[in-house]
Amino acid sequence: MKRICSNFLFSTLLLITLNACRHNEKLPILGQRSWNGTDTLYSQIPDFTMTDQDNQKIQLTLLKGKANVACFFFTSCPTICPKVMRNIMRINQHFNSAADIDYLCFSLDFKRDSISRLNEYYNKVGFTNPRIHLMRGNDPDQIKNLASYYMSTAVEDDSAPGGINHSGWILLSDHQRHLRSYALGTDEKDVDRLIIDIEKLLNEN
Amino acid sequence: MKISHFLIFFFVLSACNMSTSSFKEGAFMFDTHCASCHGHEAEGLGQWYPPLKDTAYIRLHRREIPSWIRYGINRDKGSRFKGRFHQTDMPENHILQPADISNILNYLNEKFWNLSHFDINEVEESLNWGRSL
Ligand code: HEC
Repeated sequence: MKRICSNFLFSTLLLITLNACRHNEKLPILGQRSWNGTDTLYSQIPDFTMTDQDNQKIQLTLLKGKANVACFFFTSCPTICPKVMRNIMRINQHFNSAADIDYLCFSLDFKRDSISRLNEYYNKVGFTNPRIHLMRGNDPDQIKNLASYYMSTAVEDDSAPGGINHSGWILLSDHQRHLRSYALGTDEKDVDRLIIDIEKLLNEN
Repeated sequence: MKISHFLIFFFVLSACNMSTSSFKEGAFMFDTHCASCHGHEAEGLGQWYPPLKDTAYIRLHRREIPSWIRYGINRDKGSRFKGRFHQTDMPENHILQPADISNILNYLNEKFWNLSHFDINEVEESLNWGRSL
């Protein structure tokens, strides 16, 4: 509970900061920061290697995209994921496959979301952009541990629909693995705002 | 004369409110219980979650549909309804009452199908049949 509260506080604070900076040209860098005497150090998403729906190894630091769009989902999720995915599709359609964006959708269901199921999902949902990766962790905890760096939570919960309770953020990070913006993946208006932020990030030099 | 006009106007207005209110109820229930998968405009999610616009299929299965909604569509061996797409499941829903189900179906019917009205007795009949399977 404490953790949820502090997560909530953290997110609210971020949201306020984000709103304050909305009029600036450059997107803010989100997350905790520290000072090493000469520079401000921003928290980074730690590097990882996982497997995607085509059985390719995907390493975060090897992705070349200027923008990185991430979300958490699982293929049998009955509540928020389909909406989040619909919005991922919308973002992808808005920018088309030529844009310098990598998409990482992390499956929270290690048990059921095998590579072949992720592959089936990718095709049936109708993705064609090869830069969309549906990610399977190397062990059941890898993605759950990663979630906190994306300000997201995921816990197994038998009373939750589909057995997993998780947050539906869509998160934007840059090629230095800094979080730059995010939106509620179930909310079209919020995602429209994120699309503008993605444009800003793509235009940064 | 004026008063009677006013009365007629009022009567028509309330009647028309009555007929749309069940669509509103159905629209709300659809958004709450179905739209995450099937989409706000029943457009589906690619071929993973089907759209709900195949009128011919709906017409053919209208007696079964309320039971699909209550008992779900599931690839498991023991399940009542197996569906036709077989890639993922539709969960059971025991919250929706017969009136809710008929409101949802009439809302979809008004918007997409244009079939005859889904009467609450018809819904209950289907649910009794589904329960007996
Ligand atoms: C968790 C996602 C999910 C939710 C929520 C959901 N459905 Fe479904 N629905 C499915 C899936 C998956 C199928 C296809 C199953 C199959 O045929 O294999 C389906 C099939 C259907 C069909 C048959 C469509 C066809 O053309 O074969 C109808 C009708 C339907 N759903 C209505 C509803 C209604 C009404 C609600 C809300 C009360 C609802 N569904 C909620 C996932 C869902």
